[in-house]
Amino acid sequence: MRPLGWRLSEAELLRAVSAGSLDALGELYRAHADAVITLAFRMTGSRAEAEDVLQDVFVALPRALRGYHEQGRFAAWLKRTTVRTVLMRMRAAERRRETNLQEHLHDVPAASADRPVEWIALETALCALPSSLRAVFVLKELEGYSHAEIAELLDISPAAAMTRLSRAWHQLRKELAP
Amino acid sequence: MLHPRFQRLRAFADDELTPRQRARAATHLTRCSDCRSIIGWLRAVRERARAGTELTAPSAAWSVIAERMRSGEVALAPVAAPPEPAPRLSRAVTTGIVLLIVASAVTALVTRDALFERFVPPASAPPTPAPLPAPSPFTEIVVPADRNDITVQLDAAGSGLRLRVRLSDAAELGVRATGAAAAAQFRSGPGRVFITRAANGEIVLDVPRRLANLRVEVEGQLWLAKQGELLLLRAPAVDTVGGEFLIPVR
Repeated sequence: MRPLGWRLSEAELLRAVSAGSLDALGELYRAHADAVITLAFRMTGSRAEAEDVLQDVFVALPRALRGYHEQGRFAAWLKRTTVRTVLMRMRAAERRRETNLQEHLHDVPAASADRPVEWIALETALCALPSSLRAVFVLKELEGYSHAEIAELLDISPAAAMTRLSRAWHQLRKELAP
Repeated sequence: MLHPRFQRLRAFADDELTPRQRARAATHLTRCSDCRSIIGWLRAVRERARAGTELTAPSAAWSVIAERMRSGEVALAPVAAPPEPAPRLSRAVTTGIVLLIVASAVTALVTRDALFERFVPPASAPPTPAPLPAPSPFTEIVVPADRNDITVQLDAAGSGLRLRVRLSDAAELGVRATGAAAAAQFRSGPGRVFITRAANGEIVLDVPRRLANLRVEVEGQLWLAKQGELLLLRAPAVDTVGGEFLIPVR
């Protein structure tokens, strides 16, 4: 049997994951985990929540891949799956009123030479955005999704996505503008 | 000097304006340093945000994932709903809708453009956001029926939740939540699915006929059991709708 690793094509790797190979899943994890946790952190503003999302996404991957038919665009598909997982958890958390701004603020690192005060202020302001606005801001401005793609991901209209983006920018401006 | 609204400047920075709108905004920007500074601020914030935190996945996370996989935990990722076919409309209805949309768009363009370009002062109150359409969340998971013994446990259900049970020839137990119920917590272990805090909405169980044993428990009470071909319903109220059973949970 051929060992798993870089010699497998992505399609072969995905088939192996779908068939239940933990080694293949580990290969995918090494390749994509940083991108998944970064996206989850940007959307949630919480390192602990991002780690939970990371775990949920990869535990779910073998079965979720059965519905994957976009050969060649796995990274984009994985990002959408991550976004959906984040949104599902956000909706549940909002219903339980468990979102705690102070907890999120603790996840913003202190200022340093690498991270000037302006950067910390932006991270703090992003964390303070309501999750529905932050999600749209991150998807549009940081991840480069179009309004139509955001609308599809969030189950809203493109016009609503635009409105939310404008509201997010308005709030950031109130917090950050000199 | 009349300034474009912040929203318009944001759209300019994102290159989302029509050519005509863009030309007007550009003309304004050539002679307005205030608006140019706003554009500069928008771009700076975006660049700063993009260069923001890049996390590295903690090494311990993979151990947890591997352990969860080895314990037989079933995947519960939200799966996008397949697009439903649009209902077919008669030609007359379609024509009417098209005319209505065109008329609305023309009216909106004329009034919005005119008002925006000429009368909206820079310090006007932020626009009232359009009402957001109600989300239509949808969560679907499948549980392999190879154990032939599955328990579905429903706890802390919200008001207005319904459970719809239908037998199918599928090979796997399908659990689909719609409405606010899609935001419930879903977890699974070998042969067991936990659904907690499902709000109003519907949870649909597609039960494979070949599944030997299924138990559905609500708040610790057995409400439905399938034993081979036998289906036992013990819920306080059950409606039969076609080949399905509809059980109001709350």
